[in-house]
Amino acid sequence: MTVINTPNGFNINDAGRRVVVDPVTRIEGHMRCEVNIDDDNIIRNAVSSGTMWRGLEVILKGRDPRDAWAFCTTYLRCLYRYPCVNFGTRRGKCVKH
Amino acid sequence: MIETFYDVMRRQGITRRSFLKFCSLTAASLGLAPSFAPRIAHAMETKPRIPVLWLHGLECTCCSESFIRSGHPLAKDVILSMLSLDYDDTIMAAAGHNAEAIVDEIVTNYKGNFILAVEGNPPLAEDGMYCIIGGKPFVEQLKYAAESCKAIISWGSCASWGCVQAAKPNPTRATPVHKVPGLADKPIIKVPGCPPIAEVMTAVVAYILTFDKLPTLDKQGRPQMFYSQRIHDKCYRRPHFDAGQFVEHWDDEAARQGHCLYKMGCKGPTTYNACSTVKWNEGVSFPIQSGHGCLGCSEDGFWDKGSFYERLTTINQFGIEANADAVGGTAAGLITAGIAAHAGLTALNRAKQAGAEQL
Repeated sequence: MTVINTPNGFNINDAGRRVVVDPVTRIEGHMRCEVNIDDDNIIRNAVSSGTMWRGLEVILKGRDPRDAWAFCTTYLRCLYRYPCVNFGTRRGKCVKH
Repeated sequence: MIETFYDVMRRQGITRRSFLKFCSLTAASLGLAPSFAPRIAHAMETKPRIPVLWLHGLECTCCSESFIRSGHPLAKDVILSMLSLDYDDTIMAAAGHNAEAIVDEIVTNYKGNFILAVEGNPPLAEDGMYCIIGGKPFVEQLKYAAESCKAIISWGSCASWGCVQAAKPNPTRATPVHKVPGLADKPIIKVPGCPPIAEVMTAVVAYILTFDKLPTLDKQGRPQMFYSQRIHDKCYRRPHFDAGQFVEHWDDEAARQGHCLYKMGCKGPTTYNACSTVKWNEGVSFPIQSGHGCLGCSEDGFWDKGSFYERLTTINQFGIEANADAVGGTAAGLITAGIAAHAGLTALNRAKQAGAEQL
């Protein structure tokens, strides 16, 4: 049996029947799921991974903290920017005072 | 045979009256004369729907979120039916290899006749490994689809300019669609904004369907009808700018009175978009109206032009062709001249007084 260890401590293997769904649709962003099913159709191993990385953590370094909301809300814009505007202004005050 | 847009609407129980209303609204939002409404109606009744592949790269899906919230009540049925939206991984039913098979199907069956809508952009670093779809880098899927499409629509700032993931130091080398090396040479319509206004997105599609051609683009490749005016020029707070009434703190009296947000870092004066005219959420409001300055999200490089709360110093002010530095410089010059003149006059007066005393 071939086993591949993922960087975060899980393993992907080819035991039983292997089902790979990539891309997983009707979600926001990109995702891949891999599962192993045994003879009784029971899932024995499952690994999912987000298949997109933009490095916003790296980009945020050294920027004006008041701008952070505009960058990190793009992690998932279903949550949308507008509620964050309040956070932005409050943060603005903290920086000034 | 693909159904026409009108067939789809009727099948969904939309009346002809509503259909015609939609056509006039579309004509209006495109800035066309009312006489164009029948032309739009005719196109929608007779022309087959355009198959669309809507690909997602490095993105946050805000363009899709905006698009499906198009202000017009029929949007959810109509706009999505107007395009035969065959592939869009956020809303499609198929998943996994079934979804990927659709890309092949469209590319084979509609060679040169489908529109490629791109949301997000491809990362080029590490051979595109920062965005993988169906086990392959997104950039490969993009190039493959672009090879046989009719035109490319770059939805949003990601596809048009790069957006936040392309901000310094751009760790994934996120690259806007028109700069991807080796991409087929196809017409590209940029519809920037983070996200673009829903009505702008639907109107661009309606235009392509009605007139069978791409809308007039400006020199940056954006549809002229929506990106030719500055937010600042149509902003309802503009009189306060001209009158020199500015918000200085988020909680001051001027903020409560709705004065100009220029000093709070509003980028309206350098941003070309339709926010201050079309507005958002069925014309309810837009950022400046809600009391926060414009971020300039539809402009190239908005993410690296200093803080969103730093005020602009390069714009023309007071209705004359001078920027803040020039106005400041001139003012300083005038004041210096005034002081010198005043000192001169004082000296003269003193001399006179001294002379009078001597007499």
